[in-house]
Amino acid sequence: MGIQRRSLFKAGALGFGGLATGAVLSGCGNNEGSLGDDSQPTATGANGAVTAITVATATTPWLDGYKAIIAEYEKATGVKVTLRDFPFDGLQTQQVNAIQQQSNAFDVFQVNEGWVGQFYSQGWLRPLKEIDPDFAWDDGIADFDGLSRWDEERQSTSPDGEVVALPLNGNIHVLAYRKDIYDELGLTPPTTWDEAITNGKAAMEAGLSKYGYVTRGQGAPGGNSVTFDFSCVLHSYGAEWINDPGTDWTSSIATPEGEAAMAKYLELLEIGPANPQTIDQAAVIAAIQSGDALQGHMVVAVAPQFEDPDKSNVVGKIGYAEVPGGPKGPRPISGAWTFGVPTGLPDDRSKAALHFMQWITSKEAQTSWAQKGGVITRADVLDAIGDDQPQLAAMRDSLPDVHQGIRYPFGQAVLQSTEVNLNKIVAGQSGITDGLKAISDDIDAAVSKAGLGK
Amino acid sequence: MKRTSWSSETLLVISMIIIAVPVIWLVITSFNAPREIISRGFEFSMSNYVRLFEGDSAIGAQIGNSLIIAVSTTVFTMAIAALAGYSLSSLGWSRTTTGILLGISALIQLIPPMTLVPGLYVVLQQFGILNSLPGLIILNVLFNLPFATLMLKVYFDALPDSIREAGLVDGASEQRVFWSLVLPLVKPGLAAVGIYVLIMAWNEFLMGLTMTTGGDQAPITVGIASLVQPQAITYGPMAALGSLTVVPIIILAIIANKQIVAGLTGGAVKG
Amino acid sequence: MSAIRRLGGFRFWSLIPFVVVAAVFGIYPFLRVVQMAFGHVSVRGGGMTFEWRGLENFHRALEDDLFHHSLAISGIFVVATTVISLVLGTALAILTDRATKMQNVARNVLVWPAIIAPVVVSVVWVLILNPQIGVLNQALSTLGLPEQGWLGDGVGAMAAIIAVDVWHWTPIVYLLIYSALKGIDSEVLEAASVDGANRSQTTRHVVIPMLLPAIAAAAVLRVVMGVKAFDEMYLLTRGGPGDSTTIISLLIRGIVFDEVDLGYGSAVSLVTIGIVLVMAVLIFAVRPILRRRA
Repeated sequence: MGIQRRSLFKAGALGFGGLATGAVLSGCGNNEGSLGDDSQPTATGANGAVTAITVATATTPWLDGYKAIIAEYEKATGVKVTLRDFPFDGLQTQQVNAIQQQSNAFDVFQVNEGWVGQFYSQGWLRPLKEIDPDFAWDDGIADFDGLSRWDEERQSTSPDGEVVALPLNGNIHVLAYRKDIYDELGLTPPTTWDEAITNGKAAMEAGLSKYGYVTRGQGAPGGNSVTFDFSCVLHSYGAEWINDPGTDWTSSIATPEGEAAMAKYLELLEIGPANPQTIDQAAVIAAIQSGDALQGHMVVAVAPQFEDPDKSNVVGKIGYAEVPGGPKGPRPISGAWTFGVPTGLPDDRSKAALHFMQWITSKEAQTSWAQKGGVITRADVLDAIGDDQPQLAAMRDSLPDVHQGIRYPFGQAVLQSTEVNLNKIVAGQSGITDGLKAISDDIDAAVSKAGLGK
Repeated sequence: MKRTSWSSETLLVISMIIIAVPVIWLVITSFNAPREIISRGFEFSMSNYVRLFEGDSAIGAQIGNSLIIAVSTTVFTMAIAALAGYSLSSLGWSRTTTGILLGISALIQLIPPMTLVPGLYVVLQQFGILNSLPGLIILNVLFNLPFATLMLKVYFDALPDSIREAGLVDGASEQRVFWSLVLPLVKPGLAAVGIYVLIMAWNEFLMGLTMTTGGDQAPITVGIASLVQPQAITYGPMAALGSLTVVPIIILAIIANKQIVAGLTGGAVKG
Repeated sequence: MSAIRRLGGFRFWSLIPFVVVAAVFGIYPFLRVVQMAFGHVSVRGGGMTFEWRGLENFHRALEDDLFHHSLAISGIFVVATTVISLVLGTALAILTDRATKMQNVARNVLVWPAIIAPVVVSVVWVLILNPQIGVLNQALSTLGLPEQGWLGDGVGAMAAIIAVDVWHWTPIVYLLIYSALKGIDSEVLEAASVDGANRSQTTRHVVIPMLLPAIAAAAVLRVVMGVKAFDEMYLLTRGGPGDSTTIISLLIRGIVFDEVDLGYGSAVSLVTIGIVLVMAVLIFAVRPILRRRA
């Protein structure tokens, strides 16, 4: 028995309507999400084509680049784009509010890797083929382990799923390292975690670096902090939070592989700053910027901050490579952003939104964005630009190995457990075996609560 | 004649240092180069401030929004609260009516605003004032109104009934008595409560975050929160923007100290 | 006759704006929360549906460990911040009252934190407590002491948010008590000193008992503020590390906005409001007793 929220409101509003508010309320009788649009710059031109769209985004290091590309879009098409930027989780709140009230406040949603399961599984994004029956996936766009496609049956992203979004920002892990110190010591960038640790210790012993390696140990409630960086090691040992979403919903983290990965992660943290349980992304960036750390794995998008002389002591000294690997090879994690069209948007606006998304992910736009240092999402453009931009070259080399982040419909519940328990292990408050077992149990509980698994 | 107790004076000075140092550190940091902030050094630099206003920064618009919100909220809150406070205090409402309305006021005060967000979102949307300054102003009025009304009622309670009666006997209407006779007598109360509301509205964050579409539509508190990014270090700009919002308000506090003290305290003590 | 009608007119319309704002923007959203608490609200593509579930959400709240943990954390937070700020605020008020040289400056400076936006307060304290760039660890390392994780471990983070809240809101208590102090009849104090009581005896036996009603009022205010605390912790710890500082408002935010479970979030809100009401009533019940003793 589902009651529409709107009709409930009307009933409530009538109750108070007697109180001198009749005049104001009288406007609400027949709106279908149109009243909230008054302040929206969405407009249609004389021929009925949409001439303005509103795009939601988060305040990120790549926002300025996005603005520049959008300016090019406006110039090329004459469509006015209003970009609304929010604090990182404010963006999620805003978009949830908008879909909940069907306010059509935004024409384009921007979805973080960590929200994918929620947004896709709840049907908050409209499949692109529904908007344009002729829509076809452009093979030049990188796949990021199925990031843009949702398989309703498997309740998971999958290369066979329905396309509901396009990748907007290809933020994946890369290794950032001090070229100058590596050269001085005659070392080459590590391909395994063991090499990374050996090199790190060598630089510390030579007195060239304060820290041999830096990565996150902080647990952020509602976030994806230590989980994200640890996943890079975890998956390189062959362990998975969920073995195979859609077919096998069990977890393999409380296994010898998972434990070995955790032990290796603690070794990495050991040659990093004190109190690893407090190290967040900002601390990782600061350790590289200040020149204290030899190396660390982090998302590509942070790279420009190392090259800004106002902020960084290591301008021109940082090299980039694919992340080191374990027994299963390297597994950089996708922390990408996608964008999509919110469900419930009128057809003409949906088409305009899709047009915008396709333009932004076109070869031409991506080439231009890449030249400005953007973390682009087209493999063909990454191939073409060569080694001019070392962080993009490292990204290009990493694409075949990219592993998905946490994209389950119940991802929040998993993260709630991993962030707390990994943080405890890192802080030494719980042992590796116990900590991983606790996570594994929580994942089982989340799976069964979601009605998946058996 | 009070004698000076040196131990009291010393303790006070220490307390003032503890209170003031964090704020001073904020301002110092805002003038430190970002490179030095992370290296624990200091090098005078304006770059944090420059960065704030670079490009098509929304900061200017956000400061403007906050000013509009703060001033409008204060005007509307004071108007509504003065009328209601006077009405409940002097116009012979029954104890039940007064009790119910004051009870509702207290209840609104007790509810964590977070819990009302979904309900408020619906209401604002139905009125077509979601994502707009009027919407934010109404919400700020809502959250300040109970306290302002209670406080002003206390001020009106303190006036003798004979003032109103004398006015009525002279043939003035109730409106006229309120406007010309009573209101001027509670000016200190209006000033005190008004400044309090102004500060609260200027500082409001949660509604600004959830009820606007961000960017140049949001108040400055949201602009500050936007600087806290998972993938970038922004301590410098955070300090700069923090200083920009704090310093004017501290100056206001120094100028209007008496009113603020009264505004923050008046009612609760007497009640 | 006409005078009565006139009175009726102004009497009503003077109250109407208040009633309308409170009803439409206060009571109505509150009733929505009550309604949602008794159901499952799901947001699927295409809007929001409500499904009646009776007391299910409340049963869930009874069994939810995280909610209980969060209540406990909030309890500690509220009690600690209330007690500490009452003690410090009262002490500062008495000190200021005694002071001669510093009185005016103190009345000014000691108010500062209370007028700073909570968002800015969190920025201020990040710059102090951050383990890498914070001034506190810089000071420790200059003194040759080991640096601390501060916000990094559960107890430290809890202590930190309590300290921040106390710093932020002690000035409110200070002002309340200080103005109550100013209201005390100076003859009473003179009488005490004539009776041969020294200053600390007067403070303990005369002044503090007379301040008790004001202290109780401040206590109610601080309890309510403690339950509502959100902005600073949201930006300072997000409830972490782990869930060690997940005070109730952060928990509700997570349920409503991260998990998008409006029904359960509403139920948790209602239970919380209920607890606050009971506590407020209790404190108010104690107040007249205190006043009588005074």
